[in-house]
Amino acid sequence: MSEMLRIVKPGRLAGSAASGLADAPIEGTEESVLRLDDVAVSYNGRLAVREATFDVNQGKITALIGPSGCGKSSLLQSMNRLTDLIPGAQVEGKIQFGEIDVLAPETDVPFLRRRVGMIFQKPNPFPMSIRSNLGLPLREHGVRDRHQIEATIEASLREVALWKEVQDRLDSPAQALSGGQQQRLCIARALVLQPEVILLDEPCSALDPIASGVVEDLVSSLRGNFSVVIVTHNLAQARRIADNVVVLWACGGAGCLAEVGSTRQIFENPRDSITQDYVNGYRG
Amino acid sequence: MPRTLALAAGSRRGDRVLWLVVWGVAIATVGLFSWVVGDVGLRGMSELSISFLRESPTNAGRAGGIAPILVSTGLILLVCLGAAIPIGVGSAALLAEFARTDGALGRIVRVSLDVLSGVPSIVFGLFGNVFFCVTLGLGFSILSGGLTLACMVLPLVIRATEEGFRSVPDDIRQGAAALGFSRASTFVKLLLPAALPGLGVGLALGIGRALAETAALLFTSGYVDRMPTSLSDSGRALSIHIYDLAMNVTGGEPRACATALVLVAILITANMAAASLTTRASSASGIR
Repeated sequence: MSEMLRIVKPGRLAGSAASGLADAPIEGTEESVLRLDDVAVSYNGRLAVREATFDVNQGKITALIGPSGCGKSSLLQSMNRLTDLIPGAQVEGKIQFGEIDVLAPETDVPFLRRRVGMIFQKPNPFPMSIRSNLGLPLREHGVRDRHQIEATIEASLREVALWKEVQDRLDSPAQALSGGQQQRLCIARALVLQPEVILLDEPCSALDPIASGVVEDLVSSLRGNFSVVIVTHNLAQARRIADNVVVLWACGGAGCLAEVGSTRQIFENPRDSITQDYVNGYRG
Repeated sequence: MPRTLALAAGSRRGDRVLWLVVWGVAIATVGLFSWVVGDVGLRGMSELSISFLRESPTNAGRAGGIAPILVSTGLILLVCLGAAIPIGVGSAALLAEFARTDGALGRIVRVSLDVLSGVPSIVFGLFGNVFFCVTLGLGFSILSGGLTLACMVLPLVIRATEEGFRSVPDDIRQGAAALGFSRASTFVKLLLPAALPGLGVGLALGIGRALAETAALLFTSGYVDRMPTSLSDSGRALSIHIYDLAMNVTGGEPRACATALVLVAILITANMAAASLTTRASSASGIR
């Protein structure tokens, strides 16, 4: 699939990512694919989150957790410049994605977004058939060959375990699918572009418990092939699927970083007292 | 206990009054419509025939048919829609998609539209006469008439299409942006198809208003009842033919009623066509 789209994947070969030490420190020893350096997001001059500095590691799942309103989604949306869509939103600091300076004005944003995919809280399939939902992004990015498009669609649907459920109704409306199926379709739609990073903004919170479990397992299975950043309110979910955890907290009206570390360290041996109270359910 | 009973009886009486009022108003509305159409139908039906639709008027319209008038009306409508659809969709897109944040541009355009939709049609007629007929040198012609009507129906088309764009949920725009879609292809591939039902509503309203228009056409497309040979010919619209027969031609009233019947039939057909197109477009796009 990657050869089909001929998207260069820097760093994929230099795989120190396979070491798999769950309690390795988040910075330094592993290959990072996305580096946030002192990032601040504000809306009409009002700070939503500030001084966010952390790395997203290659092939790992990084969870952003914290109470509501501490800027988790703002931070996530700054990573693929989706903040551009929000009037009055401003992102400062530096986000480096491979050789791309994400926040630079001259950055090719469609190219960036092709390589940094995003899944939203509420499934948002386009109002068209399942096949068109997956084919449209490919055509948008210049893939014209029908066979290639069909093959990529099938491969993506298999990757999200949706192929068996929809293979005989690819031309029926995507919006007729159940909520969980729609969310998996949206993940497949992101996957057709073979992104390197996948950003997920509370992908399970609009789903029923069973569908939520299926999507969670799917996200977990993306580990290794993709670098995943997931925003979640569900601490147990973060603990189950994340390799690394970023804890955000509200300090003085804006979100700020409380602690960054491996999942085991954050949940078993938090250094910060706020983190300790939060993960143990005493705060937040 | 007695209090409760009294209350119940009182509210039951209130229900009955309300029921009578609602049904009375509904029946009055339908009745008025049937009366108008019925009256025109009774007077005009005897004049209506295939040859009435296929022949040219003779004896100032007292005899013959309305074939050239139908053709002129159709051409005026085509010119009107040909100008109003692209400008309307463009302005609606500007208002709904590209000038979202209530900036000065959006406000100015919206206020202008509100003023435009309140301008009496006779004023449009005078404007069209001065601008299209004289300044642009188009003279009394189907082109002048159609363009004047386009100015008149533009507010309807723009507002309805704008509503169509606004009915597209924001998460579709976000989803497209997150997949790296350019604004242009988001617009063409996702927003425009979803806005089609709105455009359909706008066109139905616009066609209705254009077909019914008399005053704006009197000074622009003129009232020559010959078969037009080009868009720069003067052409008489159905509504003007009705006006002329009823007001200026003694003994023209039965023919006026027959023409009115044809006009009403076209209006109803156009409305039904727009309605069915709208339902089909909205079920195809999945946005309701």
